[in-house]
Amino acid sequence: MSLLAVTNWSVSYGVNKIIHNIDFHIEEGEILLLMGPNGAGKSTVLKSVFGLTPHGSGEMIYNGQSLKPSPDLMVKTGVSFVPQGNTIFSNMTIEENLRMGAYHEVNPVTVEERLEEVISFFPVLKRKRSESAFAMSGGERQILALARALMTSPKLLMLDEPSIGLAPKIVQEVFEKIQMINEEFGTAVVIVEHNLKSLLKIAHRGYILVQGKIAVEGPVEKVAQSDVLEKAFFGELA
Amino acid sequence: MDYLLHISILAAIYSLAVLGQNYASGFTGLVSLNHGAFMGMGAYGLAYFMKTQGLSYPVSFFLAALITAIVAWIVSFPLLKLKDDAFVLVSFGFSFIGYNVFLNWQSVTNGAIGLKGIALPEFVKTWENPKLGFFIFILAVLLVSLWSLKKILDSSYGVIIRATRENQRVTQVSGHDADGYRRSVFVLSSVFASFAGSFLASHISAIDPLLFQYHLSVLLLVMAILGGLASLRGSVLGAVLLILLPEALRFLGLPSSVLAQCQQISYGMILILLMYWRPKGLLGEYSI
Amino acid sequence: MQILLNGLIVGSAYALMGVGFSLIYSTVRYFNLAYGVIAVWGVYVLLFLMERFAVPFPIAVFLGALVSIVFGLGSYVLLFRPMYRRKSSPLVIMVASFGLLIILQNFASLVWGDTTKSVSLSDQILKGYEFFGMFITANQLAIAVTAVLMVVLLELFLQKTKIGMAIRAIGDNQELTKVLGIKTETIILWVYVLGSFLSAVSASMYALEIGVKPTYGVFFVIKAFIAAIIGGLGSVRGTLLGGLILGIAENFGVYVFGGQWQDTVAFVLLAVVLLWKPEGVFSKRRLVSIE
Repeated sequence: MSLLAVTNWSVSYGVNKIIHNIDFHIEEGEILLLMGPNGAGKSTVLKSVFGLTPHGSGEMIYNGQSLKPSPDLMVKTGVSFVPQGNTIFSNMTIEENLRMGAYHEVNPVTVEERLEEVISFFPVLKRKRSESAFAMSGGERQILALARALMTSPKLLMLDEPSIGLAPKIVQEVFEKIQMINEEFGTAVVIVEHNLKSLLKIAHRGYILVQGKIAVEGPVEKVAQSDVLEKAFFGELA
Repeated sequence: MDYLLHISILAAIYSLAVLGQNYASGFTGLVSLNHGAFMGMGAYGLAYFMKTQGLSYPVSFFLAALITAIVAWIVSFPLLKLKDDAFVLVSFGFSFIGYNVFLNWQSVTNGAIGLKGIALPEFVKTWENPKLGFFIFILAVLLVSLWSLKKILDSSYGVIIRATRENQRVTQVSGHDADGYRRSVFVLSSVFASFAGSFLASHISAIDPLLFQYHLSVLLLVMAILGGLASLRGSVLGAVLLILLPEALRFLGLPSSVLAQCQQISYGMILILLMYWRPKGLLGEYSI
Repeated sequence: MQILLNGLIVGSAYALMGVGFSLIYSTVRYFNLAYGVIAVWGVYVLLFLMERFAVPFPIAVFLGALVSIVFGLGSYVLLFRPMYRRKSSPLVIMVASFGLLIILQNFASLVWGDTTKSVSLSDQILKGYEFFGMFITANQLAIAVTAVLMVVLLELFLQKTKIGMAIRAIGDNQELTKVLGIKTETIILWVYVLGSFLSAVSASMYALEIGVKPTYGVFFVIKAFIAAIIGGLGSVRGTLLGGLILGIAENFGVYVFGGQWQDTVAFVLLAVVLLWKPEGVFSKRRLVSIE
């Protein structure tokens, strides 16, 4: 049984249908790539599954239960979302940023334990834990966002274009961290990305989304070799 | 009959002022709370030049407008740098400062006592019913103003002004000095307010600072929004409606002790209703 | 030096007013101009309780503040939240809040009258104190002590409690707070409670010096606004400093130019700050942008 599965999923903005009745699923512990040209609707899929935007038709089954997604619910059932772009609280310390990640946890002892666990996984954060997040570099911010997402011990991480605006070397580091998280904690990860080169090495499975529909699906090797990918990126299908 | 004339004169005066207000706020997006102060300048200017300096009506009238325009021009430099809500609040501050100046510049404004005995223009004094003549004169000025504003707005200059309202940056980048256009609108709008203020001074013949507090600016803005921003006819409509409102309240038999507050409360309610249901106003084409 | 002291005392009242206003703005992103008149109603309730029922000052302040909270929450639930849900722009909401200000201010005028009513700590005349060649009245001392107390409590609340952290988070990055699954609605309600409380307390304290009349509704929100702008919207510490600066600047201005120019000094200061450093003198980030 899949960790998360959506069937007949559609999303519309007003009269425009962006996502056209797709089915997709995520397995436990896998790294899944959502690829596709600009405007294909990748971010929209992620956001609608998390409940940030409303979805039209479709059913979602997470952990065996049928759910109507809302951020509140998803976070509490073990899904974390890292949005594109500005992903941290610049006027708070690193530690506070992490604590915000565990906001829903009622037991303070659990929060402290989790904080130490997560922060040990990211040495750069551990070093600067009491410093303000304001002066952090782009790469550090992304690491912080990742760490914060882990504070709820999620089963599933959703990352929306984590490499955006980052230098290639930093992107490398971020992706390595993602892989470490996946291997160490067994967290499933769905990544929406353009920057595929490095990711294809660490992902297990992938979907190519074109104009709101799934064009290709399968193990990452198969998807990487499909000429749909090339066509999609060289604009023939977009 | 006299009463009707009085109301009509007020309606015409305020229409003129609201024209100015709407020109700035509706057509250029400068939601300004300055225009009460500009009216005050027109009023005090006229009174001062006629009474203290002994100048004739026309000269005083235009001199007051000139000074108002200059003040508007100067104030526009800092003011135009501000974004929407900041602009509104600082212009509100300006009306506060204006009131303080009227109150404290004793040598010119005679402070809290105010100035009295402000006359009507010479040529209407010879009429059988001077007030009627005055009304017709104001109406004429109003119509000419409406006509000229329409001409301005229909011209290519007008197109650019509207463009600055929609998107300042784009207009600027297209090679137009957006600030310069807005400044010119702001200054012209102040002149209309000054004219209205001068007429008001003549009509009620005695003025004091309390007339020109921020309440006046608020009233002008409400009139402009109610009638409809960016609508010339709307300016007149808004002025007429809100001039009639206190009369309607009086008609309801409310005791005079609470009349002022009830008036203000109705302005407040109108504002809220407008903002909630129809920020465009009755005839307007632009919503803030 | 006495001027400086007076300025600081007044400034501390402004600072507290500013903080409540600033907190609300940083959470909802529009200017709530009815903020000051809500406080005024709290002061009138305070007076009523003291005069009619001989309620001691501190308790009366608290009860007055509760009334302010009711007004504040009411205005949010009945007016601002619906408008926000209808996607009204911040400017439109601000103008609507101004309409509310006019209504509440004039109601106060109808109910309580227009004359300035004075507020005092107790029935007996309290003496002031002298130190270092400066004189401080009992009222001023009360204002200062209350302000310090409120600030300390506020800082503790914001830094040490979960809700406090959430409030800071919303002011920092509202979108992200939603992504974390936090119910921003609840936080906003708390902020309105907090802001209304602070406004009422600061207005009550300041009333010891200047009494209360309906038109203070506008007066208070303007001072709060100016303090918040000087310090940087959304920055509690900045706003506190902004209020102090405003108080000092006003007092010096009055000393040099005369009492009638007090408001002018305040507005000129506002204009100067908006043009020179619109993000606030102490803020690190841009919140009020200029063209």
